[in-house]
Amino acid sequence: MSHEITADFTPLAESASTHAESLGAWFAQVRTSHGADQRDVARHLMLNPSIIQAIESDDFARLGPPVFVRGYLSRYARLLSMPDHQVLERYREQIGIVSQDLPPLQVVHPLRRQARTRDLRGLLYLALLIGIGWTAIQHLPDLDPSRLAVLWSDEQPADVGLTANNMVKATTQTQYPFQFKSAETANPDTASPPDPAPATSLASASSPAPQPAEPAPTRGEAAVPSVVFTAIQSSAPAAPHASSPEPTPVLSVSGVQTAIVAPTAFTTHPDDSHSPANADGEAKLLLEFSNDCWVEVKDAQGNILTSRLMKANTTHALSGPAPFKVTLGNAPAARIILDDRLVDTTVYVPRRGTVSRFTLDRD
Amino acid sequence: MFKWLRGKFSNDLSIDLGTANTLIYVRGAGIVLNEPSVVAINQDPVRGVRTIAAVGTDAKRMLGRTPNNLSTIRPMKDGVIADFTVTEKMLQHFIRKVHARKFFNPSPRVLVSVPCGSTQVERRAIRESAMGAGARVVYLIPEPMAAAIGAGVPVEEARGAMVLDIGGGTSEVAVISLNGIVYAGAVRTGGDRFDEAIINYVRRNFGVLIGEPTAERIKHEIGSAYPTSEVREIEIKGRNLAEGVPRSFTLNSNEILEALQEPLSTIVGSVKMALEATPPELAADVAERGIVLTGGGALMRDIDRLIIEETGLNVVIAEDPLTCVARGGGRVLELIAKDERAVDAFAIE
Repeated sequence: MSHEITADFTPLAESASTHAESLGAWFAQVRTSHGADQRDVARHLMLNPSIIQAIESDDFARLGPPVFVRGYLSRYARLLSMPDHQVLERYREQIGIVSQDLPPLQVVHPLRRQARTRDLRGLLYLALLIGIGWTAIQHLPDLDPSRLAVLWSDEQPADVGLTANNMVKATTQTQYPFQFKSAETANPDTASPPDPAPATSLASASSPAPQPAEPAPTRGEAAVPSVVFTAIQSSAPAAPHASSPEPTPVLSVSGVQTAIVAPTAFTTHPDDSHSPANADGEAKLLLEFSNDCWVEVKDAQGNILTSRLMKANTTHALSGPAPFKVTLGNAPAARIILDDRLVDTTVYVPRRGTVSRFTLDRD
Repeated sequence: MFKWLRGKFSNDLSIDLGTANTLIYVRGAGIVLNEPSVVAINQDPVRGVRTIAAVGTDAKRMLGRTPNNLSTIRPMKDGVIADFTVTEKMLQHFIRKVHARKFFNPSPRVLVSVPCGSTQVERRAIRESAMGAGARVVYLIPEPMAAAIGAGVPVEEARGAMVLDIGGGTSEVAVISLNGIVYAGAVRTGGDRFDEAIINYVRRNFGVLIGEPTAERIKHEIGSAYPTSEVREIEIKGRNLAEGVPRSFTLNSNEILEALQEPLSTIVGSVKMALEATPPELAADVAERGIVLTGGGALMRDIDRLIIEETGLNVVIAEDPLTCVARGGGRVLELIAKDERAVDAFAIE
């Protein structure tokens, strides 16, 4: 079957019909002038006759989107030898299309509804990671491998004796002085102000003869051997003020402020004939500082006896099982006496800087 | 570097990276660039360094008329990248050209149309090329989809529509419904193949060698896809292969129609294949409304009549078919700017 379009139609001699009142009327007028009916036109254009009918009745909405309407009009115009650009122009005027703007596109597949939630989840994970990292950094000094080894060791309860346990407890209590305060408040009769209390016990520790009447035993029961740092006025006598609640026990050590550290148990048990510092395996360490110096001392079991900044012109006494691992932030300013023997610290002073780390043993 | 910041000073672009022409649509401004995809390369004979001499229209004027140190390259072939580096430079040139502000290097969001028959490697090459040219984000959209949107086909409807996009390197036919492509087929036949067919025809029948620009001029002036009573003629000049000297001769539209028979039948064959593969409901929709023709090939005289005769279906030539793909991409970009979910529709990658 042939679909030759222009076979039955001849072009119009005049274009007067362009003045028809509407585009549909114009088409109808030209078609009738050719002597063809709508069915013939539909057959030639291979379109549904209803489309030709809609065009001639100016019912363009029935024809679908403008792209198809333009196509129908253009083909119809060419069939009838009408100027198609004029036809299309008239179509635009008739339906009111000023510009060539197309209707807005629409999305019918909203698949990314959860995208924002996913983004927030990522931020949450990031914040969590930063939090964990920050906490880890903050607690990094506590992550001492030796302490972890003690804590995680399965043999710890069996191997470590009562004294050692006490020392561990002492160390723990040293780091949390509030426990000491609670011990004091447990016995209101012997309670003293929070600050001078350690000084009192310290004074008794330095006294040659322990006095049973002192409130210290009660305190000693509650406070296990611990290392306590207290500044003492060096010009005042120590023994008479041992039981005094006054917070000014003093030692006569060359007119400088002196801090003495001793296990509380050593000072509190009246029937305890010898101090823990004198016990077997325990050594006494005396630290004197001519300038501010950060110090950390660990005993043989890895317990931290002290870890703090020592002020200038102070003296600190420590005791525990030797050897000691000592870290000095300002080594030239330190003077160390181990069991009444002066330690030559000059060999520990580093070539560069002032931080030195060494181990002190009785030998 | 600082692409995000530079993106604030850039316009979103829809690029129809065609084999013959590159068109750029700027969101809110329309088609701002329509230039041939041709690059002239200058090669330093001493150092051997290659530099870009001209791009676009300037380079096309040099096509076939260059001295030894100059060569004109068409970096796109069959709708895909044939020379990656030159394509990147060409895109960079065009992107800078459409940005008036020179203070920042532009870093726009770019939507590039790709042939639906292209492979993943070819698509990746286009994406990388656009990124290399400075694009911040690259979206790829199948050409028939962009063409349908640009032509004004209501792609979101639950109703089938067939689009035939005849480009410079490829001809693509697709059936679209509900913002997606139901069927897509492509043949590597387009305007370039028409030119090639004309060159071969003239050489075979007249013994005269003509160049690509001449063949293109013949196609534009007297090219026809369907025989008509009106015969048009053109006088052209070429080099006579036997004598070796330039000769002029006359060609008519019927001869060109004969020359174009092979590529035209390939295109018609792809349409028929698409109709065979279309589900019946959609085929009924296509039969009711017809096929929409877009691309530069739609401008060939009576190509719609050829398809009407061959398929028996109504054929509609889109308004301004040469820019349909770029305009369609632009409309999609505008939608993406309003609603990011649009990226999931329209078969965008």
